[in-house]
Amino acid sequence: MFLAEKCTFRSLSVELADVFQKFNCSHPDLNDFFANDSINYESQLLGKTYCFTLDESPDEIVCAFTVSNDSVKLKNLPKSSQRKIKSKFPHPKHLSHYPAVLIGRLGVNHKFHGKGIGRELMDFIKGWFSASNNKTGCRFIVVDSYNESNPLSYYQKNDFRYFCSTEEIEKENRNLSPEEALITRSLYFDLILLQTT
Amino acid sequence: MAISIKSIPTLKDKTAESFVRTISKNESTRGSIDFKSQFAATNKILNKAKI
Repeated sequence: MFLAEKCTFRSLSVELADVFQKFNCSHPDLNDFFANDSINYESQLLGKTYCFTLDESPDEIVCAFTVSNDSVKLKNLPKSSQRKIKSKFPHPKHLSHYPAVLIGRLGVNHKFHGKGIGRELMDFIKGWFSASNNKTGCRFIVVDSYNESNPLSYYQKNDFRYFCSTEEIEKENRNLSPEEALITRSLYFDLILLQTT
Repeated sequence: MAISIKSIPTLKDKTAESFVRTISKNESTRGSIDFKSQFAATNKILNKAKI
């Protein structure tokens, strides 16, 4: 377990802001976000960025991610499905909202690609929001992934599922016209599936 | 400036129904993924963390 044995988990700080300038995930938008935007999200309390630094070289970020609170919101659910939920969750709030944590960004340093770091990182995030580590009640990990083959394949390999089975349906849910480009796709992982003890 | 972080869109109609069907099924297979070793690794990382 590379992250557990050779790295330290840290939150974004002023000292690390300079280190993030050198963080290269081989994806221009990801690099731009971590170098220039992550600190603003942090200061506005809109997203919290964390990273793993290499113990033998603490100025080297191995991987990083940004998370924020979100929820899965349901609308116009057929009555039969509403009854199904109600039988499990008597509180009416659960008819329309499920608590979730949103992965806003996630990247692995290009020097560490192909070493299973992405898998370890996702396992860490799942574990961090599971069982006794689940501090506030969080049912899902959700992500709005770049609509590109590599990141989509990564999330699917880590047992994430699409909310919408096709791009067309996702465009409808996002109120986009069929001609508009779908830049990102939403996926989720259900934390209830994990057995931690 | 990078693409902004976006929330998950509200799920409507059949998409919402399909989602409910899936998570109801998940409730009946709760804990079906053995995650004990990964969870132990997570706690090891958190014990050493500087956050």
